[in-house]
Amino acid sequence: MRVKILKGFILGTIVLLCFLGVLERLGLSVDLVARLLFALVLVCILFAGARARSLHTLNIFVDGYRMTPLPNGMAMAIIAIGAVGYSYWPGDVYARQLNGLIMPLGVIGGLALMAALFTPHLRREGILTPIEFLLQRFNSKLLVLFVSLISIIVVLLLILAQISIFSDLARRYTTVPPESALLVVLVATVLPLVLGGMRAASWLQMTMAVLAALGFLLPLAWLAFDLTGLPLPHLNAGSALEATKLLQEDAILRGFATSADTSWLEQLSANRLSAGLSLLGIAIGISALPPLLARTQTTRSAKESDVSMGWAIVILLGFVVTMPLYAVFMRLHLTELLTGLNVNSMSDSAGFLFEIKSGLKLCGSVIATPQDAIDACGSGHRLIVSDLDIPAASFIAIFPALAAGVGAAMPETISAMLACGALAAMIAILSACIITLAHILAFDLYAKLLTRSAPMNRIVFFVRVSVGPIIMAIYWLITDPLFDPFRLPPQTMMALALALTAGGLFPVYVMGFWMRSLGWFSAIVASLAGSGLTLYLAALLNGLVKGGVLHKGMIVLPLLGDVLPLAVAGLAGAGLGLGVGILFGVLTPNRKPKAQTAKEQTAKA
Amino acid sequence: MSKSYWRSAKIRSIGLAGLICLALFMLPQAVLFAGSGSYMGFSYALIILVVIAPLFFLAITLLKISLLRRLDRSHDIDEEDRLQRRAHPKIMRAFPVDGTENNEFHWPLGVNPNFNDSSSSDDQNDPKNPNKSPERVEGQKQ
Repeated sequence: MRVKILKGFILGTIVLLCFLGVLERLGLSVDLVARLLFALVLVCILFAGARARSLHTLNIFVDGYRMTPLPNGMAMAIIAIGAVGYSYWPGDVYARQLNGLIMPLGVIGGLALMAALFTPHLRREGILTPIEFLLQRFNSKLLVLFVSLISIIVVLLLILAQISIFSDLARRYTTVPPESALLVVLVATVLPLVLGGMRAASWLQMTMAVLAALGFLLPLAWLAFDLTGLPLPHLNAGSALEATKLLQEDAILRGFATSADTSWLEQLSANRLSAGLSLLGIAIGISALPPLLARTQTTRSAKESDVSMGWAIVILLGFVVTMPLYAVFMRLHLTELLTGLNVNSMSDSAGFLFEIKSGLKLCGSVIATPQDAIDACGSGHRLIVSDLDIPAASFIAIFPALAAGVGAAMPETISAMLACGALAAMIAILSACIITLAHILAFDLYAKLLTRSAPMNRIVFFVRVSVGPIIMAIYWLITDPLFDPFRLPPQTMMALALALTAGGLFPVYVMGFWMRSLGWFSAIVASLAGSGLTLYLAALLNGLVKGGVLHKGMIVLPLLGDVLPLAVAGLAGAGLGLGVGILFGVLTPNRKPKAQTAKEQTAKA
Repeated sequence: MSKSYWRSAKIRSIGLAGLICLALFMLPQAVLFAGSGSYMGFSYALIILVVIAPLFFLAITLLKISLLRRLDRSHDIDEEDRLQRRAHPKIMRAFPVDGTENNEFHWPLGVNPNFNDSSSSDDQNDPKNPNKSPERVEGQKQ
């Protein structure tokens, strides 16, 4: 049923896009096109809300255990990618070349790890939330409280990271103030969740995954069609890379460039040990991420839960194969545009670079005006492509502007579809995070810790009501200037969330599933040690704590950028947590199973 | 479920997880060993990172699904109803000779473990849980 509806939705969206493209050619204003696409997203949200409205407990918590593998895999993939992955990862590949692939590969590895360690076993338990499993397994309210708090922090970090990309989108495509637009999006995301809980989140994530996929593929297909007449970018990317290389070799012959500029997207420049540890850290973080664990519960059986993980990896594989093509085509067009260009005449042929205003660097300095560019490079300087540094965050702004000036200009419908996809990815992960938060607050904390006798209809009521305060809190965290000093770049927040998951949650779930002889005390110690070390390392890396241990140590400082060290901090936290937990388990053996066995023996007798 | 049976599944699951961790850690090493050649314009390093590594993780996941289907206890929950019927012949009364299913004779009595109506799965008024709740599985074990 769902697959049929999804097929119809995909077909309808494509027809609508073609219709909008034709209208744009006939003179429809760009602003109206953007508004219509935004309306498309809102219609999807309303459809999800109307389709999924339900009062049934299982629908509110686990979508009635009804998700089939493919839609569940789509939902998992869009949660794993998120708005940050959609908007940053292609730019990251452009900026940091193969090092930019570490994060997406870690995510794929994390899904595989989750499938191997947790997925079917968690689904087999037939519980409503992952934390309920911990309560059943360890029978400790203290542990549940601690794990719930870590999960809440992780989910809030994820939400803040995703939302921080929204202001750029809102500024480029609407005239509405970003705060108002954010409030509209938050309310629109939450409305279906109030009506249908996890069931509505499933529908939202499925439809948004389709929009995000179309938005990601269409611009590339257009560029490939423009270049070669075939809308298959994967087939053309090899020749685009070779053309880029030829242009750069020509620049060497003409004396603009050096031989170092010709090698691009060829080797990892990261330290191998640190890159491997970072991959592992990211994967461990993803494998215990609360919104993804909650999503594994919605399938019809443990086996289908496994199959849906397979689908999620297939979809992510498609994304990872496509993602570098953006970097390849951007590199080709920027090479064509900039090689040999006199910096004094940059405003004539590459004026769009000054309009973007998102931290572009030329010759090592941030540029905002043509005069900045002349000051940075010197008057009369002949440019090469490697003079221009594009931060990963600028991809979503620079790609449409670049594509609009190449060949047959890309229709605004298609370039706006890229932004529409980013918005869809944001709404999908927001819905997953908000419903996870609501479940933790209403079920794990209220129903399981505060009162054991709450009737189910009251818990469901609390789930539906709690999303209101949640979005108010999110809006407050985003807009209040009080939190400005604590705001981190989105990728750093994502990495911090993954590191905290790896350090604080992964050891507990591993002990819960695979070390049945260990008790609740070991689990708490493991989680405390893991999350404590992770937070200490994170604070050290961000300069909040002064300490020289790691500065002289082996693993943290030689790493790349500001994202990956946090992943290694998570890995260190996970390792310490597991080690300390096992040690405590050995020193203080759990006596509960023995007591239960005796009870069972009495019962049998 | 015998202890050795479960232990075997556990070893395989943890073994596969270890293999994934090892692959992640060794991936940069593999990229270095691949050298600086290219195929159809793409460097070997790019092909390894973008195509081969994700395919490897997909293959491990598929391998895990197929390999552990027989061994992993988590998959057995799908088979449990059938096993229960085999163990308790009276449950077979739920499936008489003419093939019409009789819900009243399912075990535990009155609970249909096979209820999994995907065609009406989107009916919002459907109050049935198509899968097993822990209570019901416990009931079956009794």
